[in-house]
Amino acid sequence: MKNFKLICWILWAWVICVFVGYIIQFQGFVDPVLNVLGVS
Amino acid sequence: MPLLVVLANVTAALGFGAIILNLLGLDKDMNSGEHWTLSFAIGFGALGWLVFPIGVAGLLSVGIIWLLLLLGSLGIFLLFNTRSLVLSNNLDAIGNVLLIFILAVLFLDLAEALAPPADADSLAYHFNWPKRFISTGNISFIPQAWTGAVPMLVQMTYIPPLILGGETALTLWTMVVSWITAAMLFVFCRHHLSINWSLAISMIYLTIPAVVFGGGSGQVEPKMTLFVLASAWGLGRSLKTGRLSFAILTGLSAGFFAGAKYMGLLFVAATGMALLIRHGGLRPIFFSALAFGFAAVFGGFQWYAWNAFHTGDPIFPMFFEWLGHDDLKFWSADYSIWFKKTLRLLERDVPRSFWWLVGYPFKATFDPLVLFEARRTGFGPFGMLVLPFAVLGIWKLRTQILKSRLFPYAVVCALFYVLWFFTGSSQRIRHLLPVLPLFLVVMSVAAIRFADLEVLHKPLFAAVGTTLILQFLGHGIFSLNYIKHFSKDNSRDEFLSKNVLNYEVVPWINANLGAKDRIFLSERQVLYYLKVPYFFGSPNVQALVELRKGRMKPKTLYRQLRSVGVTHVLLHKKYRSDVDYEKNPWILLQKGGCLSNRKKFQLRDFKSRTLPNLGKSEKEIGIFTLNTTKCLYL
Repeated sequence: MKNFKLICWILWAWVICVFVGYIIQFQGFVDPVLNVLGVS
Repeated sequence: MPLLVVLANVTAALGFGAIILNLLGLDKDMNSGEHWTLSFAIGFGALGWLVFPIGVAGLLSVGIIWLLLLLGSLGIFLLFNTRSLVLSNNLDAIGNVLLIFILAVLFLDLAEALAPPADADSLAYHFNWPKRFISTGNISFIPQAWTGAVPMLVQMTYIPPLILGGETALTLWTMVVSWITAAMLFVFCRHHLSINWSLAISMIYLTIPAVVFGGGSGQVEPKMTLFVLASAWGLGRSLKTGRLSFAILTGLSAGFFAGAKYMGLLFVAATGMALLIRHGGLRPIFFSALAFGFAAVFGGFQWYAWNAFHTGDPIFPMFFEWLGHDDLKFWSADYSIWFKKTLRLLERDVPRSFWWLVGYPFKATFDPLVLFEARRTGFGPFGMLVLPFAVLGIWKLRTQILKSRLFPYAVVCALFYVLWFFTGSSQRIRHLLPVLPLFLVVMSVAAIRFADLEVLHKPLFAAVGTTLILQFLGHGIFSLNYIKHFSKDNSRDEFLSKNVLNYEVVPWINANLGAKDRIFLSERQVLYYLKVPYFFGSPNVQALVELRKGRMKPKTLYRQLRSVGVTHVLLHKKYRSDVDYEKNPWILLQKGGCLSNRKKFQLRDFKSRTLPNLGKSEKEIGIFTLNTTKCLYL
């Protein structure tokens, strides 16, 4: 496949960005989660 | 006993389905995995379909229901004559790890299934209506818009476990049905993918937040998935072979979906349109469409006929202004118009435009509006993570797409999504859940094909691995409440107080009110646990008591409460700066001596039962006696 490396990089970047973009919305959940786990 | 009852329900559903597939002559055209799972899917619908006339005839009794299950179970012998599914590959290390994860998920789901039900919608209607039907021995019309006078095919399947095995059998049954859906997804995946990939996709499905939320409760969407998969399977074969029996299977399953929720009508439309893709002239298309249509009507007509008989409107209250009975007490044309305007505000938050059609999945994944309910009970990141892989896979294999078995699945998913978006349905993401497994199969196969062809597995493994870990952790946190309940040996009331908002009022009401009383309340999540008559006070479901904002008058309110037999009223005391309490009719009734306080509760309000610290506040709830002799508004 042409531009194999480029596609590979794009896919890696996509996976990382989507994952970070997804979990960032749960930042307000950290304290409540730690609380139910009995950590804080 | 609950376990035996659930087993009997499973065998009955399998048996009914096997009989139907045998009658259609389809059981020789499938492997055993398909035969078992498709039998269950069709039989699950058939079970709900059969319970309805039994209930309407007033024959809901232990003996009759056992007889029904026994009759269905006889069909199970038809399942043992198909060729076996190729599942014999030995699991490698990854497969074993996935299997351990799946067993862990099973443990978490079992913890939920063995605890008392705590989901608000289930307690308001999914479990509440079957419980009420059983207590009277018959299925009667429920005079409530939106929650009562609606299709209830799935809720009908809750009656056998509840009547025979009690609450634990019911919650176990909902869990088992959701797991069989995952098994069916696994069977679908196995046609295209390795055993490891199939296990991974099934586990992703089982841990998707919307499935975790709804799978073990009475929510119907995860159960309707069975009908979608069965219908799609029939559609694929119908398009390929042209045999009418496949079109009948497609229609019957789609009809069951319509019998379970109004939204199923959109699915009937989507599969009906997809059926027209078939080549080979107008005549075969016409006959396929005819067979599909008859079967769909047969599978789904019951609840529409029921609604039409009682209200005049088969899709109550959608067309009530034009079709509804004029003499209906619990609803009116004026209410119907108001209801639809309110529903638009309650259920839709983004415009129905092409841009939002494309943008909705992105918005729902990364920054959902509250109305979407897509953050804690959404679809997770998987679809978005594999999107470019799938797009590249589709491009790479574009010349083979039309011939693929997955093509009709993709068409059905796309048509259903477009219809769902543009017809003004609720924009809650979980309403798309029934077609999610089809979407998962299509996306996963396209993505994995691309990765295989280009030997580009690492980013895909990362996408799948992170999804699995993240969702599994989420599932674990959701299940903590249940695990704590069993490990600390909490009482039922303790568990429910922590997990059902305002449950604390229930023991008092059950102990202090009797069969001659009737309590007015707007707390839908406690209705299932009430042992005394109640009146659910919401303006969205009834017109007997005027509760619409700005239209309530104390005198009318008092008169209407009396007319529906209310003796007690449960009220919140929430002070808000934007409310004029001097004009609040409930306050005026108190000042006028019409309501006397009987009991006060200081309770805590929480946003999430899983994460109580996410948002909590204190509140006061009062239970009042409705005075019949001393009242200013008498």
